[in-house]
Amino acid sequence: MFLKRAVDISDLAAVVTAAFGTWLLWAQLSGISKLSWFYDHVEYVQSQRESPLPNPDYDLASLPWKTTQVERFDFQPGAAMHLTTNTEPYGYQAFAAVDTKGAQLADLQFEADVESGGVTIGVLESGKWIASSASQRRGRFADANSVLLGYHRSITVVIANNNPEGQSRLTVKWLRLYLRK
Amino acid sequence: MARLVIGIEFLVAVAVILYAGLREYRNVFDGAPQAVPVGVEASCSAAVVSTSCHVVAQEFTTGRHRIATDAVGTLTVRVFTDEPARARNLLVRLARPATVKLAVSSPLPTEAIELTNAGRVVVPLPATGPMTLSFDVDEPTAAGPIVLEELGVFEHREGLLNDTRRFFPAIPPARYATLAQRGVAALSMFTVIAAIFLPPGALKRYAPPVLSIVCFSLCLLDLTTLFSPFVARDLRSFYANGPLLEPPGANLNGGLHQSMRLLDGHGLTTTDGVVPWERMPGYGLFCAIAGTFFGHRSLVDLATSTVLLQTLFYSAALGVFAAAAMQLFTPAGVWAAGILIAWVPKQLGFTQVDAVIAPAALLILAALAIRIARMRRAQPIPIGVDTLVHASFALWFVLRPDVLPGWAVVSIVLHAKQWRRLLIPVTFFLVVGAAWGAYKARYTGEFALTTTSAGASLFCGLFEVPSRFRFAQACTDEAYFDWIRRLTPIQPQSAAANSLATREVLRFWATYPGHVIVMVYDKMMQLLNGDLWPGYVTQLQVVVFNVVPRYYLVVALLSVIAVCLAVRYERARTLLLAWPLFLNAPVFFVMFASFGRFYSAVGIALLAASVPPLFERDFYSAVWTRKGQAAIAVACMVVFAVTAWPIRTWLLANNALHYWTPILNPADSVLATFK
Repeated sequence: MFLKRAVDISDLAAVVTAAFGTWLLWAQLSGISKLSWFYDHVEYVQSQRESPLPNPDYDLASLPWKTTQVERFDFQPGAAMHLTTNTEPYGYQAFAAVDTKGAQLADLQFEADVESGGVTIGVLESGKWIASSASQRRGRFADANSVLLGYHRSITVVIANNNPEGQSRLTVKWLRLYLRK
Repeated sequence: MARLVIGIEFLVAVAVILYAGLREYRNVFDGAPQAVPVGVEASCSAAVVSTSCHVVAQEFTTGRHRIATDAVGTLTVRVFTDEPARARNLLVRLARPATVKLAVSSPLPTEAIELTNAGRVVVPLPATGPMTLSFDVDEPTAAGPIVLEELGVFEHREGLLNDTRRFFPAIPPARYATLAQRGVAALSMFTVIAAIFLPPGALKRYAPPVLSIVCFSLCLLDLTTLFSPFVARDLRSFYANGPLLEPPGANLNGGLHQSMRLLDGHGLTTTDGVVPWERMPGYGLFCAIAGTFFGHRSLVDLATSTVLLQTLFYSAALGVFAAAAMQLFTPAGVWAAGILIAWVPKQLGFTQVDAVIAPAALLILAALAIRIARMRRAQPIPIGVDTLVHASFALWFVLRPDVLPGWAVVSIVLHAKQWRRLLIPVTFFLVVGAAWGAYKARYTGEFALTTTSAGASLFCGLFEVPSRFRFAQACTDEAYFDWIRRLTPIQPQSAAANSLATREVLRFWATYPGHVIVMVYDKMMQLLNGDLWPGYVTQLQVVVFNVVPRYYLVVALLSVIAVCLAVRYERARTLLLAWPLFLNAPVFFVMFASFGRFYSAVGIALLAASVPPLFERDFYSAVWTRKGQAAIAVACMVVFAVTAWPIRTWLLANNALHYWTPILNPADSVLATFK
C-alpha cells in the first residue's frame, strides 16, 4: 500500500516535472523570439523616421492633450502645435494619457522644430520613461521609437522641457502613436 | 511517458546550454575577426610647444594595436599595408580622453569625425594605399594624453560591433548576453530536477563527460560578461591595457612574467635575480604549461593561453570529481552538485593562482571520494589510493601553502590506524617544499620550505575588520614593507622578517583578544554572506541570488551538513568532503582574506558535501528515524541565521570588548597604535 502510494507520488512528480520543463522551454523560446521580433521591428521603425507609418491609433489631433502651466500652448486640431514651455528645466509641459487596449508594443513617430532650448518627447508608463528622444539643438528634430509595454493599461505621451537654462520654444509638426498587439 | 518527455527536455536543455556557451569562445578568446596585417608608425606633437610628447605603440595581438601618448596634443598614426584593397574598415576604441577628433588622410584628408570613449567605433576607409590618422584633443574640454586601447584594420565590418549570430541576430549583444545567461541558469536548474527522473545507469555513465562540457560552456558564459568585445573589452585587450602595464610581479601578471621567463630560459624568476617571496612555484609552472600548449608569442598570448587552460582545468576537474563521486552518491545527486559547481561564480578570467585552487580542490575531493568508497565497502585501502589523495593535496601545496593545516589534520584522521602512511604526505611536503626552498635559496641566500609571507598575511589580516587601529586600511605590500623597515633593517621579504612579523602579530593577538574575536567573527560572517563563492557575479548567478540571497543559500546548505552530522548519516563522508570548510576557511579568519578571493575551495566543498545527500532516500529515512536530533540541528541553524548579523553589529559597536587588554601591556606591541 505504502509502496503503491510512493509510486503514485513519483509518477505525479514526473508528470509535473515534464509539464514544468515544457513550459520552461516554451517560455524561453517565446520570450527570446518575441524580443528578437521587437528589435527587428525597432530597426524597421527607425528606418522609417523620415516618413510616417500608415494607420496610427492616435495622432497629434486625436491625442487628449493636457498641459501644465506652460507659457504658451497654441494648438488647433489639424494644425501644428506651438509650445513655449515654462522655466522649469526638465518639467513636463504637455501630456496625453491613452488606453493601451491590450497592446504589447507602442511606436511613436514625430517631427518637431526646436526654435530655442531643448525638448524631450517620449512615453511614460506608471510614471517612468519607457521611451524618449531628446534634442538640445535648434532646428528640425524628428525621431521614431518603439517600446515594449508592460501590463499597465495606460501610457502617457509626454512633451517635456529639456533646457537647463530655462524656457524652450518649439513647434510639433506631427506626432503619431501606434499600438501593436 | 512523462519520464521520456523529461529525458527529451533534459537533452534539449543541455544542448541549449552547450550552444549558448560554446559560441562565445571566439568572442572571448579572439575578440575580433582576423585583422588585415598592417604596419603602424605613431608620433605625437604636444599641444604646449615646450612640452615633450612620447608615444608607445604595441601590437598586442595580430593586427590590433595599443597606442598611447603621454601628453596633451595630436597623435598621428601612419598605417600601411600590402593589401590596401582589403583595408576597408578602421576599428578604434578610445580610452582617454572622453572625446577626440579623428581625421583620415588617404591621401586627401576627409572630414574629421568625433570619437568618444563609449566603446568600439568602426570608420569606413577608402581602398587606397597608406593612410594617416590624426587624433586631435579638444584641449579646453578634455585635457590629457590620448590612449587608444585598440586600433586595427579589417576587411569586413561584421563581427566588430556585434557578434554574428545565426539565431536572433537582431538582439543587441548586451541584451542577448543577459538573456542567454538568465535562460541558461533556468535550464541548468531544471536539469537538476529532471535528473531525478532519468535512468540512473545512463546518468552514471554519461554525466561526468557531459558535466565537463557543460561546465566549459558555463565558464565561457561567465567569461563573456567580463570579456565580451561588444560589451566590455575582450580578454586580449583587457590584459594589454591593464594588468600587463603594471610592473612585473603584480597580482595578475606575476605568474605570466615568471612563466615567460621560464620559457625563455631565465628560470622561475619575476625579473632578473628575483624569485617571488610570497608565492609557491606552481602557478608559474601552470602558466608555462599553458604557453607551451596554446602559445606564448607575447605576454598577451600567454595570458589568453593561461585563461584557456584554467577553464579547461576547471571543467576537466569537475568531470573527474563527478566520475569519482558516482561511487558515493546517486547519479542525480552528483549531477546536481556538478551543475551547481559549474554554475557558481568563478575567477577563471584572472591570471592568478586563486583561479586554479577550485579545480585543485575538486581533484582532492575526487581522490577522497575514491578512498571513502573503499572505506564504506570495508575494503583495504591500497597505497596507490592514498598516494593519489596526497598527490592531489600536494598539487594544491605547489600552488598555495594555505592547504597545510587542512592537509595535516586530514592526514592524521585518515591514517590514525596506519601511522606509517603518514610518511606519504610528509614525503610529498618535503619534496615540494625542499625543491622550492633549494631553488629560492640560489637567489635569496636563505632556505624556506614555503613562502615567507605568512607574517605579511597575518599583519594584513588583522586590519580587515573596522577598528581604530592605525593600520586599519587597504593592505598593500608597500604598507607591510614600510612597517618592517621601521622595525628592523632586515629585508622585508626575508624569512627573518617573516618571523618577526609573525611574533608581533601573535603578541598583538594576546594584547587585544577582543579584537581577535571581532575579527574572526566578522570574517566568518563575510564568508557566509557569499565570499565563499568568489569571482565576478554574472547574470548566470544573479537570477538565483536575487531570489534567494547568498547568505540564506549558504546557511541552508550548512544546515544539511548539520543535519547529516546530527542524525549520524554518513558523518565521515560529509566531514571529509567538507574539510575545506572546517580546515581551510578558518585560516583566512586570521590571515589576509582579500575580500574572499582565496575561498573558492570552500564554496566547492560546501556544495560537494551538502547537495548530494538531498537526492538520497536514506538521508530522509535517517532524518525520519532521528527526528528529534534533526529538529534540534535545524532549530540551531535557524537561530544562528537570525541572530548572527545582530551579534556582528553588537560586536563591532562594543569598544569595551574590542579594545580590552587583559593580559599584555599595549605599550609593548608595535602594532598597538591608533589613528
